[in-house]
Amino acid sequence: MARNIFDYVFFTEIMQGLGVTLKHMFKKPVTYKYPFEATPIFERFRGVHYMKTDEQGKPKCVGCYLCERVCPSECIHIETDAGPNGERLIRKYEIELDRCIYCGFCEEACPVDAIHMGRSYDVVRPTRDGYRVNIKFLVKKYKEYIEEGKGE
Amino acid sequence: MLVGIILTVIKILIVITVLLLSVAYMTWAERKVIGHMQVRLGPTHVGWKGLLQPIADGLKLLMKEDIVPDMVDKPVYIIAPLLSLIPALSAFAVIPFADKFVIFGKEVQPYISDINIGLLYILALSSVGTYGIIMSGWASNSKYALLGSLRSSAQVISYETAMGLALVGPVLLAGSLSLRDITIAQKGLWFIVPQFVAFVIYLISAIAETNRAPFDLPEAETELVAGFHVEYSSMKFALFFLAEYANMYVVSAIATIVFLGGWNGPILPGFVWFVIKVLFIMFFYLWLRATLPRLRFDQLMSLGWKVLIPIALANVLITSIIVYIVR
Repeated sequence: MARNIFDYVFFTEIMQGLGVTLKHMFKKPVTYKYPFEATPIFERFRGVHYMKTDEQGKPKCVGCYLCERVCPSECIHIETDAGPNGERLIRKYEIELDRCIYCGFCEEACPVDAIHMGRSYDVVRPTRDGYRVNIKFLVKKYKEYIEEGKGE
Repeated sequence: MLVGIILTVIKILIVITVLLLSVAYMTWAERKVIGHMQVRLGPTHVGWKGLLQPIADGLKLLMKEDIVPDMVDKPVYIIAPLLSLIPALSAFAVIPFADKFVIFGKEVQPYISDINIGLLYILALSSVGTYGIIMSGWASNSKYALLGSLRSSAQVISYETAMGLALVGPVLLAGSLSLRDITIAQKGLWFIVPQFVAFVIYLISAIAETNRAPFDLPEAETELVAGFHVEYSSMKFALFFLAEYANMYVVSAIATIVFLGGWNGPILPGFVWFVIKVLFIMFFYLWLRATLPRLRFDQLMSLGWKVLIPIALANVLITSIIVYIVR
């Protein structure tokens, strides 16, 4: 395309560009001042997990190992044991948050609606071990979510 | 006599203080303006609207460790930043901020001095600033610094020709090299009207001369890290920074005086007009930086030598013929 001599002499394209930037200067900035201002979270955002409890406050998990099996990054570790009346006890339920890829498969696999993905994303720990969270932590998260109305 | 000297020293102190403060606040304005043009906020935390940010930056630079690399040429390395800042500051010696006025029966010059070769003095000083850049690049003993400084100096030298030629037109119209006389000559008509071509050439070459975007090739981060000042840290780096911004002020002040009528303007006092015009050109600098991408080096050189200098020469020729016929 031959360059128009008028455009060439009078810098029309540069003027257009300057117009664009000047227009943007008077727009409202889209910035969030993050630590002081909460950033919006999308409806289907998957954050740190939580574990639902029943009416007595006991975790709903029945120790079926489905979430451990489905987890692609193998970050869920479960150990179960038999109780005195033949019921199943959960000895250990751990999630390594630093390995978790937050895919949400565990949530989908769970047959009793126990493990869920929450909304919070601000888990930063000084050590790797700090990222190993147990069932207590998950239940506590559930309470927080209920209190703050952030759950599901 | 003694009173005169003391008054001049006071004036120099005032000018330098105000200049350094406005240089500091230019960095704030730059971040703010470009931030808003990119729909961001810019600095907000230190002080109201981030207004104390330049002071925080200055403190930070002062507290930083002043590293001198092992293999540098020490004396040259240390002199270089000074040599780029001092010419930029001393250029303000001849810039008339406002007209003379009489107070208590005594005539007061609101500028440091008015010499009859003012424009020539400024052009000479702006070339001296290049020495600082070349020396810093060479003394740093680093390939990138050397490449950056060579680029910068090639750019400055080649654009200075166009800049000087662009200034010839208004000088011919005013018939004087004194910046005060040039301003007074524009009482009726600003020189931007009869010398519009020269004004555009001047603006382009001034931006190239001060190494600002879109001609900020010495700072091409992908190729040169930061050009001539890679090896500098702490206050020495800050001096280069100050020099760059002080140069911007010099160049804007000259554009104001030579093309935009200096302190001339209705209603408001002369000084206010001067400041408004200078700040407008400074804003233009930032505006351009937010708009245009960086040029390639060969494009930059061919624009300077093949486009700007011929047009500037033609402008000089036509202007001088017209001036000759009219006089």
